[in-house]
Amino acid sequence: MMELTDQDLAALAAYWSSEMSEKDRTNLELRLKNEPEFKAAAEHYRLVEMSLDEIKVRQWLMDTPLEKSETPKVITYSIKPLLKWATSFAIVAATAYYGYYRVNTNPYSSYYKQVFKAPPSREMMMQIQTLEIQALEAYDRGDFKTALPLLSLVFKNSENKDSIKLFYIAISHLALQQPEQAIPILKEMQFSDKSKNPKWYLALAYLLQNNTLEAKPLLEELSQSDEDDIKAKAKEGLDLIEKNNSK
Amino acid sequence: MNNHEIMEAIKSDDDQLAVKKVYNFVWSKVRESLGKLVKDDDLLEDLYQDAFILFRQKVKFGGLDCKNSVGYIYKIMRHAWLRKLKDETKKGGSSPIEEALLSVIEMDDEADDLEETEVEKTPGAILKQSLLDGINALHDPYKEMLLQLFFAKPPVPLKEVKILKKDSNTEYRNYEDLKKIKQRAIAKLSQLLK
Repeated sequence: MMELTDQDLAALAAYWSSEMSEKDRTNLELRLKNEPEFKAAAEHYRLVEMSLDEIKVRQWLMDTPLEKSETPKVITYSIKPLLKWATSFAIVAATAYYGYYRVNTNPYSSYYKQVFKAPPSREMMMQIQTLEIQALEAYDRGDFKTALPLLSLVFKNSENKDSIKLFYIAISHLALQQPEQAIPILKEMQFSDKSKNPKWYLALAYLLQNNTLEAKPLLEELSQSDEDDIKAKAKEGLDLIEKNNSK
Repeated sequence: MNNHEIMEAIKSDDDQLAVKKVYNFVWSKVRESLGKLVKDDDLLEDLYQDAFILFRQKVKFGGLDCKNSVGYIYKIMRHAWLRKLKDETKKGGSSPIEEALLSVIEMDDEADDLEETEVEKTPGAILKQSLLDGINALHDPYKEMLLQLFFAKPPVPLKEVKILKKDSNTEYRNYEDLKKIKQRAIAKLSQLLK
């Protein structure tokens, strides 16, 4: 590889630090364009320089523990600011004491402590909303592997822990043939949200576990349902249980 | 600390204190936002150090003129973290929650004005050991110059480097002379490593 002269090095340093006249810059750029060997030598020099610089900076930073706050505040000692500080402290202390006294003599203070909860930040809410849309889209296209962790994350972080999210979580578990996770949720829901037929899915979950003892009464109840579809499926399930029992 | 002060410190060649100050300042700004996503403190610090160094190289060697250095470093970190998460997802090493987060953040990234290539690590950086082997093969004053500048603990600023003149056994005092020796030393090392 071509060896760079002192003149080349000085010119390149000036060029890289933008400390070059327009004319010299044009000349150097022409050289870099027309002399591939010079260009290669310059680029490799730069790469070595950058690699060395990286080692230096890593050494600098190695003994620099990362702090939480910006820079420590400089404290100067003189009477005036100390007096100011003492006055401020007295005011804050008095206000705090008064506040403490008020809260502790207020009959609602324990109720407040029990129910007060800071709402999640707007940023977090937006992230959860985006996540929820993605979760439901995945759920609707039958991609339960994607939907399940998203739904769990949404449920965990939502302020509004509505039962419908929980229901979709249970159904996703069931779709992934994880009845042991679906059953506790569906058991909780079986009397609360009839429109979604949690009992039907609970019966299916038990059947997946081959637990006919729990599944049968549920299917019997569902076979009396007003919904023809569910009624037919439940009867089909009961017939199957009978058939297997008689074997 | 404003953006101008950050950029000046980043560009400095020997001002170790200024760089450390910026390092801590930017950290205090980015750790909170990215800490919401990256729960592993060690990983967050590693991401930050790499991002900081990459940013410094882009400013110092790539002529990057950045109007919002904190935001830029944050974006480098986020991209690096996403890349790491994607790699782990491919290997099956990430948790479902991390995968979920990845899909959401990827959606955000579509609106990101920073190109992926802009925040990628400079390709082809030379390994530390190769550099050290190369330096050890050089003669003085070049060897001594590079060892003091880059491998001393802590690295010595150029103006404080102490090397002897071959003929008179006296130290180089002139800053411009030291600068020339440094340039020559890097050029000789570059020759050796090619």
